[in-house]
Amino acid sequence: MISFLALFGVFFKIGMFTFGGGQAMIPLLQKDLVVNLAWVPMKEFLDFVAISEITPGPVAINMATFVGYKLRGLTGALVTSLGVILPSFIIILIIATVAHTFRTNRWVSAFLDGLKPVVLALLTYAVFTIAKGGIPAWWGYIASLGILLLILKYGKKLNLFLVLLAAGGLGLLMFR
Amino acid sequence: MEPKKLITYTAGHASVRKQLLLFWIFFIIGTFTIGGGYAMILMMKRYLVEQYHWLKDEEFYDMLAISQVTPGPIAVNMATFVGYTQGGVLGSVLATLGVSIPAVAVIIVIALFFPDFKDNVWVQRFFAGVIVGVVAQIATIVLDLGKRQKWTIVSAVVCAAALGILFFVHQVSPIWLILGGGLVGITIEVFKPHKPAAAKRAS
Repeated sequence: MISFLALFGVFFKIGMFTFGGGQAMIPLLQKDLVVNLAWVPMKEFLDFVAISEITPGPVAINMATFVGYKLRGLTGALVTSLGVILPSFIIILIIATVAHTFRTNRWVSAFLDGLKPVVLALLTYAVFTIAKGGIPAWWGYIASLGILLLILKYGKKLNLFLVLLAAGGLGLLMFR
Repeated sequence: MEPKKLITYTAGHASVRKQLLLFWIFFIIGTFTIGGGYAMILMMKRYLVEQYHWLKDEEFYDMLAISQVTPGPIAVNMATFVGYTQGGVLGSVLATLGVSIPAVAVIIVIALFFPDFKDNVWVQRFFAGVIVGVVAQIATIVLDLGKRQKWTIVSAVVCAAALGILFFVHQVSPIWLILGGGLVGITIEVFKPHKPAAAKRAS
């Protein structure tokens, strides 16, 4: 049986060393869980990914919960989720406690200003990859553009949760 | 030059009510956002900047940049960061739990009761529709961020180069792009005349 410590370790390591958010963790998780450790068969892993992408919440936590639950039940799910959350939590807490010097320190400030265009590029790339992976028909892109224009025009008056719900409803009716 | 002080602190002065509100906001966002952390950014901005005025735009985007360039899920990074600056350590714990609990709960429910969830054709269609909305929301953030970026020749080249690498060189870790951008920023700062020091030398 896989120990809780081993489960925790795998997810803690991936949470600690993966840059680029939860989506970037999927290939690393696959390498560890399917190939190196052989804890999860490939087919099951792909099912986990598919479900994680269509359920609420950060994909990394969805994945961790799934793997933990399948391997060691409820406790396993909590152990893996905590494993993937803790590195983020600790690192950000450390940064946040010194963050008031961020903008007063000339070099840190220069570093931050320098990487801002990269952050913009990463977000732009995310828009394209999410669209490519998730929108099944060409007019989905048109609908997306329409929603973008609505958000830009109506701003705060538009309830974003309702926008997603309406978009989901549109999907039910139109995607075949 | 007066240093920009963007990240403000209310940590330590936060009321219990505000800490609970932090939990609630991140819980709501975590519950109703499908499509991962990126899909949550615009909603976070709505609540934190526009509705409660806890953060200024610049502060929010500073935190977003830091959340994106540190390891781990962006949603967790943002929750911890916002939670700490708005509600101290307890605030950071509550916000992080808020964004995480729905993700854990929904997977346990699906694993227990709906193992064939993703094979349902209606679920698939609904999800594809939601993604259409999610893409529009992230695009909104991209446009807003692009508008606020101080565009110089250097920042435009860095952005274009990063995009080129992301689109045409596969499997590149974002950490190299981030470090590259940061180094460009530092290089510019090295060659920039530093006014206070120059003034001191002159006198």
